[in-house]
Amino acid sequence: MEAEARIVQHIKNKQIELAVTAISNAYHEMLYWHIRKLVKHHDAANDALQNTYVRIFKGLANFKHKSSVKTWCYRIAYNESIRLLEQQQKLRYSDNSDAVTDYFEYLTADPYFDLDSASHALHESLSKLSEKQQRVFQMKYFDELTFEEIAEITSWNTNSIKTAFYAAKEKVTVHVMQTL
Amino acid sequence: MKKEHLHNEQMGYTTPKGYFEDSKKEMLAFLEHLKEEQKPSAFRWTSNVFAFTVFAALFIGIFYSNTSNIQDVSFEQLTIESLELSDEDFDNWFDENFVLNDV
Repeated sequence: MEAEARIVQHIKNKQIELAVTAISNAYHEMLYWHIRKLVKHHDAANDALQNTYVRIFKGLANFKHKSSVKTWCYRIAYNESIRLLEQQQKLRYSDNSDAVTDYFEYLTADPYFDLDSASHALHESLSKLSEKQQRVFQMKYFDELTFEEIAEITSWNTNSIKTAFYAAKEKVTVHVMQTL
Repeated sequence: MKKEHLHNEQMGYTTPKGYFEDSKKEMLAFLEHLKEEQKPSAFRWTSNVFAFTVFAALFIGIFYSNTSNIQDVSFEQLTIESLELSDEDFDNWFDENFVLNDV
């Protein structure tokens, strides 16, 4: 919260460079992991992160303070990731067995994916979730965002996010328990 | 982020060594470069003024050139028209000045 207050103060004082540096110090890693889970490959995540920084830098002067800076940055990172995925046409979410194979083939194509340390059960269960369930589950479970924050980031309805999360959690839990 | 280690341990996602420190510096440097690009430099300002001057000179040149062409064409047309003479007028003039005088 202290970091957030400092960033807001920089924005109010029109100190854009200082605000960007403060954002970088506070949220750099969080934004990277948020993007990485969406685009999966490290290089793609790095590109999307750079585009996110450019948009943050250009948009800070017009920041309306309607949400927290953190949520605003997450929203930009989310949109950049989705844009990149659409460009690459690598949205592979389906519930047939081929999709699981494709999912793992895609993951292992990245040199920065460690198959040995990855949980096969978790990845298998994620690959069987719908696109929306997968995103909501990851944002809630890994990024520890609130339902309201996820709603602001994705522009989805809060109730539909809750429904998607609980359905995803159920599926993941059942699958992981069966695999153990 | 409390569960940061989960990205490695559960998801298997790794990054190059020292990635976060390096990428943070790189991205801030990139923004600095972007800011410099957006600033109008003295050279760019001078070159813009030069380009504008050349453009203005060309525009004025072409405008005057077109205007004088119009004037030339009008004068030429007027001259040609003034030389036109009907056959009847010519016969009368010729008879009066040459044929009759000679006789």
